Amino acid sequence: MPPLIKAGFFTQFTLLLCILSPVWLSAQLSWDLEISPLYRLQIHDGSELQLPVRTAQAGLNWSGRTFELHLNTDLQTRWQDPDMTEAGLREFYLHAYPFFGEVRLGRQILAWGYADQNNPTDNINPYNYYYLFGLGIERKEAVNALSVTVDLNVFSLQAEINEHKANIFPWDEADFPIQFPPEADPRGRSRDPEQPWESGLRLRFPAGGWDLSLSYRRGYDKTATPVLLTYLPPNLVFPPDNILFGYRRTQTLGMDAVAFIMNATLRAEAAWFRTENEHNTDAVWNYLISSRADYLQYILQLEYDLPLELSFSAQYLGHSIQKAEGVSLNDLRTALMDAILNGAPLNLTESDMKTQLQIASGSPLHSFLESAAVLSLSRSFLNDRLNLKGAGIINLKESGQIYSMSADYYLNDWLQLELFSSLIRSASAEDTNFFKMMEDFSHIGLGLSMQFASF
Amino acid sequence: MRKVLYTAAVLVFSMGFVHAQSGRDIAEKMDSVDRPADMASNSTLVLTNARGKTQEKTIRSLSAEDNSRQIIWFLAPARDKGVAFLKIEHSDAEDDMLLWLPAFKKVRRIKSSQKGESFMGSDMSYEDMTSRELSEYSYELLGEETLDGRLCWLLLSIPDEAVESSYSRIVSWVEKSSALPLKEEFYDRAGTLFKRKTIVYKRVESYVLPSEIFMEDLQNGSSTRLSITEQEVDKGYGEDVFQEKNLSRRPM
Repeated sequence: MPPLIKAGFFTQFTLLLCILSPVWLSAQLSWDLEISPLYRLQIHDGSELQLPVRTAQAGLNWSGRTFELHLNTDLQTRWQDPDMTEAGLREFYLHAYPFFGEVRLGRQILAWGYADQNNPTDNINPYNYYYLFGLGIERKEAVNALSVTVDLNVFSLQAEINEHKANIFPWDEADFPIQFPPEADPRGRSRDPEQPWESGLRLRFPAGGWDLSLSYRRGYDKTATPVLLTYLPPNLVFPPDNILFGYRRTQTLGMDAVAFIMNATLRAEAAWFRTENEHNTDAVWNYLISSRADYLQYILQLEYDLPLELSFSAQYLGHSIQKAEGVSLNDLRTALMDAILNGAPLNLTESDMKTQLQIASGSPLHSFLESAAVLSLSRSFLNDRLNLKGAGIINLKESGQIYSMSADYYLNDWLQLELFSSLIRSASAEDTNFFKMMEDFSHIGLGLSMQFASF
Repeated sequence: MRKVLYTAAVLVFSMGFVHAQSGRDIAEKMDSVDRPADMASNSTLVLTNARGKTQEKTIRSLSAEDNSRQIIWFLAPARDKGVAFLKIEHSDAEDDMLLWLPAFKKVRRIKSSQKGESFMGSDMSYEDMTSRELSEYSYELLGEETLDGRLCWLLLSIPDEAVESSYSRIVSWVEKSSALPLKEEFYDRAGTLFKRKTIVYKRVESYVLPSEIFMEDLQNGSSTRLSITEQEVDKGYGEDVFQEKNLSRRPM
C-alpha cells in the first residue's frame, strides 16, 4: 500500500509532530539530577574496591493531561580508570493514563512483589550484579516492554510483554566477591532464547483484610546455564569451549500478600518455577544437557515498630527444589566417553539432578542460599535528617553472615553524606561456600549525594 | 407574685437546661461546619528541630469528602520529589494508606495503626492528617476561655478504646462564633502533654479554611509549620483522582 504522503521518513515525522502539537505543546517539562560519587575500601587489605559506581543519574519528564514521557539516564564511572566511564539510557517510556487504568510502553523497569528487596515473583527485569547490594531498582536493568493495567473496581489486572534480557555479571572483576570458574563463563558461547519475548499476568485484589496478588509468567531464565555439549569424536577431552550456554524456558506462578496483624505488618511472597531446557540439538555433534525442574522460592517478612521509634524488619527466605531430573553435563560426558572407549551405544539415562540444578530465575539471594534470615533495625533522628540502619543476612543452612551498617545525614535539602560498611564472615572451610567467597568484599565506604530537581 | 416569680424561675431554668450545650453538641457543631466538596492546594512544610535548624518541603494536595480522600505529592526538596501518599478513609474498615516510593517503583501499604508515625519527618503524624470520626470519641465541655480576643469553648475529646490513636485525649479551643478549632493540645498515651496545634484561617470563596497550621512537639522541642499558599475548591475531583495509579504521576 503506498504511503498517504509521498515524503521521506523525516518529513512524515515532522508532519506528525505538527499535527500532534496541541498535545505536546501543552505538556510540562520537569527534570531531576542526582550526583553521587562513592568511595569504598576493602577491609582486608585497605585497597580501593575497583568496581563501577553509578555516579550520576538524570531524568527528564514530559507530562501532559493523560500521559507522561520519562527519560532516565545514568553515568557509571571507575575512579581508577576514567576511560571506562559509561553513559547509558536507563529508561525511556511512555506512561499513559486512560480511563480504564494505565499503559506503559518503552524501555522501562517494572517491579512486582510485596516483600522488600528479595522478590521471587519479580522476574521481568534482569539484575545487574554490579549493584547487587543496592536498593530497589538500582539493581535492575530496563527492558523493552508493554504493560497494560486495567482497574476493575477493587481488582487490578496487569498484562505485560517484554523482551528477554539476561542478568549482567561482573566477569573478570577481581574485586567482585563471587568468582565464577571458566567453565561457567557463557561469553562468546551462549544462545539467545528461541523467542525473544516473555509475557506475564498479575491480578491484585483485597481479600479478608489482606492485599493479595497472583501472577503467571512465561519466559526464560535470566542467567545462562549449560544447555548443549558439542562433541566431535574421537576426541577424549571436553574443553570448556565445548559447552554451549542458553536460557531455559521457565514458567512462574507467583503469589504475594500483605496484611496487618495487630501491630505488625506481614508480607509474604512465593514463586513456583517450572524450568526446562528446550534448546534444539540442531547439529549431530550437539548433545542436549537435558534438565527439567520444579522449584519454589519463598519469603516471609515481618515489620514491627519497637519502642524508642525503632523500626524492625525480619525476613525468612528460602528455596526448595521439588523435582529436578535430566542428563547432567557430567553424565553426558561419561556416557560419551563410554561410547567411544567401549564402543557401547550412547546411553543417556535421566537421573535425579537436585544437587546439580543451577537456579537461574527469581531473586539472587534465593539462588545462592537454601535458607536465610535477614534482619534490620533502623531509626531516624533530627526530623529524618539522620538515618541509622543496621542489617544482617544469616545463612541458616551453612556458616555465613553479612553484617552491614549505614549512617546517612542530610547536610541540607540537596546534600547527603553517607557512611557505610559491610562485614562478611564464614567459618566454613569450603571454598564454594557463598559467604566464604565474599569475605574479601568486606568494605567500608563514604558516599556523597547531591540531588536537584525542578517542580 | 410568688407564683409569677416561681414560674419565671422555672422557665428560665428550663431554658438554660434546654440550651446548655454538651461536649457532644460542640463536636457536632464543629463537624457540621460548611466545607468544600473537594480542595486542591499547594503548601509549604517548614520543619524546625530542637536546635532551631529548619528544612522546607513543598507539597501538592488534593482532598475530597471532608478529607476522607486525600492524595499528596511531594514536590521539593529533590530528595523527596516523586514520593506520594494516598489516604482513603473507611467507616467500616481499616483506612487505606498507600505510599509511592519512586526508588523502588512500588506502592507500599502503611498500617493505619502507624498513624502515630511522623509524616515525612514532620511533627504531624498520619493521624494528625486524618479527620476525626465524630462517633469514635467521647466529649466533655470543660468550660470557656478567651484566646487572642476570641471567645472559645474548651472541648475535651477522648478516643474510644477501639480507635488506634496515639493520643489519650485532645483538648480543643473551639471559637464560639465559627465552631472552628483555633488551638488543640494533644496528650500522649501516658497522659503527658505531647503536642500543640494552632490554626489560622482565611476565607476561600464561601468557605473558611485553614491557611496555616503550626504544630509543636512539646516533648522534643521541634515544630512544623504548614502554610497553604494556593487553594482551589469545588473543582469536581471524583473518585478516579484518588486512585493508586495517580501516585506515580506528576501532580494533578
